[in-house]
Amino acid sequence: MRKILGFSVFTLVCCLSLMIGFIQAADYPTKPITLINPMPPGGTLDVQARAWAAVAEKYFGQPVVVVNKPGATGMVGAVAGAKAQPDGYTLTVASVNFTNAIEWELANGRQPPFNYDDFIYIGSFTMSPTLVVVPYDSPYKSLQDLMQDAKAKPGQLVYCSGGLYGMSHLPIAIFANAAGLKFRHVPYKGGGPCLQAVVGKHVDFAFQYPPTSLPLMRGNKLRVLAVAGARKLKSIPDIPCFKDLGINAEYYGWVGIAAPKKTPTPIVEKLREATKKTAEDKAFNEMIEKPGDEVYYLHGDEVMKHIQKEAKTISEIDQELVKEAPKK
Amino acid sequence: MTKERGASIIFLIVGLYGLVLCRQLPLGDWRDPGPGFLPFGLSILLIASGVLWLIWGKKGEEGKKKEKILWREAGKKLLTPAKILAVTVVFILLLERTGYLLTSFLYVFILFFGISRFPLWVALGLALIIGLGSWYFFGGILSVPLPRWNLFNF
Amino acid sequence: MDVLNNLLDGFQTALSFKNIYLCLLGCVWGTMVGVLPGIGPLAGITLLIPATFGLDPTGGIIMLAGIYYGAMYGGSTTSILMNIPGESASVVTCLDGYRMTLKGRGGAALFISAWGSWVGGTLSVVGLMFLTPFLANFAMKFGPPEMFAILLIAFILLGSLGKGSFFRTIPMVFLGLLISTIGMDPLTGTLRFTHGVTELYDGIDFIPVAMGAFGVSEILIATEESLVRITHRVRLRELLPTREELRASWGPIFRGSGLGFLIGLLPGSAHVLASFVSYMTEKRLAKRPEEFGTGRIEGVAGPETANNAASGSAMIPFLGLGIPTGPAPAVMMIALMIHGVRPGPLFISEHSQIFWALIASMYIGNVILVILNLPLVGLFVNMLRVPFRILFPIILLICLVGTYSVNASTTDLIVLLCFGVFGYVFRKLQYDVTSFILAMILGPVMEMTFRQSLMRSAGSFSIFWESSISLVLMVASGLLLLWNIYRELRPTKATWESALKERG
Repeated sequence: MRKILGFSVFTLVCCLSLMIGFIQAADYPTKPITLINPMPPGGTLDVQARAWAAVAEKYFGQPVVVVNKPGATGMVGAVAGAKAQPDGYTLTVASVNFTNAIEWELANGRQPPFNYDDFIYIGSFTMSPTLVVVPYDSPYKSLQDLMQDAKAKPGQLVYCSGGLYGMSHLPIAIFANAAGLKFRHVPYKGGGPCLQAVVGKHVDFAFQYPPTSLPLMRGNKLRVLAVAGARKLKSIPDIPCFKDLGINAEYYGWVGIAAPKKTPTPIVEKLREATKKTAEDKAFNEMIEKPGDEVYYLHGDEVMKHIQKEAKTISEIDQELVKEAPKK
Repeated sequence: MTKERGASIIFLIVGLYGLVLCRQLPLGDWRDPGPGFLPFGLSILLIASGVLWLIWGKKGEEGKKKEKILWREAGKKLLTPAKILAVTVVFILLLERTGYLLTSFLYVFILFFGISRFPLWVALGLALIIGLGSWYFFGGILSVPLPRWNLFNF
Repeated sequence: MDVLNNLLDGFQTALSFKNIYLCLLGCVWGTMVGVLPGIGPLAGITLLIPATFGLDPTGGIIMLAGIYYGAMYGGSTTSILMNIPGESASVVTCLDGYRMTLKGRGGAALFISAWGSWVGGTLSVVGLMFLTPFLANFAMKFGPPEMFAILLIAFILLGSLGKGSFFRTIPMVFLGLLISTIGMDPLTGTLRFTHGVTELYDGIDFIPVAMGAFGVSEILIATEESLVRITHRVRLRELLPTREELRASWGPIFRGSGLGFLIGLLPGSAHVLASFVSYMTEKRLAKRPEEFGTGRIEGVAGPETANNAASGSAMIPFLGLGIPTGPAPAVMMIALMIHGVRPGPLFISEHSQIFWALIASMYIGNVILVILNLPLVGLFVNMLRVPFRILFPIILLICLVGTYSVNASTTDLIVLLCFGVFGYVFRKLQYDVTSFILAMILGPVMEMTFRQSLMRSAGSFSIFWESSISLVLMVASGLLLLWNIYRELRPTKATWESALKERG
């Protein structure tokens, strides 16, 4: 008798919790949303993700809590995000690092722990090119000077990056490939030390992102020679972009939001709506533009298309890099 | 089996393991050390330490007594720590499945009841206080993201 | 004097009710976060960024700086009382601090630690106030060769750490260095010893290792025999340091402030290095260095002062140039950026109100913290009187949650346990776990800076003596090594005496 009672109670509880689950979908969100950030705290991506979280709270009516789960250039956090419950309460910060990580693993003959289609892309809100930065008293006054010198002394000019195959290394590799130049690479751990190397004149140049480089430019600690992309930046209209200079090398650090792949469509639609509104929100725009970046909204489907395009470029350059790696 | 020998054997094993694994890594040379350079060197040093100490362990250091490992005594001493370890392993495995509140409650309860040998009700009560208290303190006040039990959401 | 004028303005802003309240809030929060092992200033600051959204930038950064400082003060508590390093900089404090607790002098250790933290923190703000522009530029000159030279000095100093014999230290150093290579090599992308486990890509995180090898192993060892431990009845006299202890602490405190301030400028988590170098220095300068590790107050006073001083100077590159050199200043920088303030070389001139209010609030914060921490000493020491049978599950739970909170990762918990076992085994075998841990900290950075230097110079070793800074440091490390060898070879007083006796 007791067993039957116990069993029925158990079933009832299960049914109730399932029902609660359904009800939740209808007026999502009803509780705080977790946003997993696969990047360590303090980086450019972290700032922008937190800015998004702060403003999106308004449109969700619920707090959005950012949780950093760093590791392996974003793979650890991405895996956690992919495996999360597809109920819309655990989102992941998607960025170009997804592509970076997956393509690098593939190029090295390893199976990446997660894949592009483990996620549904909600949308992205920045598409930042890198800036070509040199120390303040560097002899190069323009990008052409740098390229000429590089042609004359192949393999002698030194550049630094924030990490191997990361957001500040790949744009240079793509550039070098497109222009047929050879450089020497010294990887650092993170954008901060990399910028320090430029300011301290330890390297010849680097490609870094606007929010962290522009203040240094204004303080006369370094100079920006060009924008490594197809558009000029509003905040520095005098600086030419690669397209103007005829260089065909594009790489963008984009940041966006993704949900696990089985998230129900009505919730995805709500998320997309909220993301769009956040991207248009004045406060959010200020937060992104004050440091010098620009808001550039892409709908989830457009994000997928962009990823496919960049995956091709990155995959090609990664295979080049793997070939050049020491194999003694 | 003295303590020095025991440790030397550990160093030897780790060194050999390191050596075997890092043969696949590019070594580079003095001017351009590759990723395998340091691990290779260290593995060799560990193996050398292990071997040397194993040999010299016989002579012993001047004036210092060699300490034998008393296996039976060590085994007896191990009992409680081993039990604690086992319970902790279960905690770690369950944590992300059943959520912090339940898991920590069970963990502390088992420790109080099984190891400290408190009477059942005392153990339950203490575990409840500590479980709830820590959950509120860490999760609520300090806003540390603690895992939740997906069924019931706490 | 321009500086003083600005400072007075800063005090005016900082002494508003709202800002004092925020400073207090930050300090209290920081102390809580610092006392709890695992959660460090980084997590504390990050968790509270959303709370700063409703505030103006000045108030926001005052609160965050309070958290940063508070955590530095609190970090030594669990190290001294329970041998659990609260965060990376407190590892060295465990060595003598915990021994002092075992001797019943835990309260005095906490007291001196708070006191030293105040001196170190305040002096470093003074330095920050006057020297930021100059020092920020100086810090930029430190590239990989210079960093390597400094680490070399630290590594040579490590050689003198071994408590017991040489034999018991050296293999542990090798082991520590080897384990620190686990993970993806940042310079070539090759995976070392990861066996395909994604969580190991970044190597083994240092906090779980330290907490496991020190704290968990301590509990495992303590529960061996019986769970009844003699608890100490605490008297007021024991909470306060003796006159002798106070006198002995002055030297380490001042040296610690200087060392900590200078080392804090360096990139990376410099406060760890600062506490470590301070401990080594005190040990070398002490009349009876063998006693270090048995509970000498200098071993607590120096490192604790140094790590607070280093936290102050770690803000210099960030405030002066907008380049954060460690994770905590980086997070503070984000907070500022979210508030629309752009840190950079023009920060001090463009936002001088915020800068000076921050400086003023750092003075205030240090005072608040020392007032907060001193009575807490009594509270904490009394908490130890809770019977061990109740205490140890709580301690274990705190270790587990603390570790989990750093990266929200269960893998870290497994590391915690494994190194708990590791620490247990090696302590029973009487090998020196401390050297292992310190080698694990120094190893990766040394290897990376060495290889980065060679990458820059395309294999030429001359890069190590090209710049004047690295030349000076390399020469210093060479001299230090020679001095070490000399000390080992020089006959000790005992052998002289026995030689004289034999003579006649």
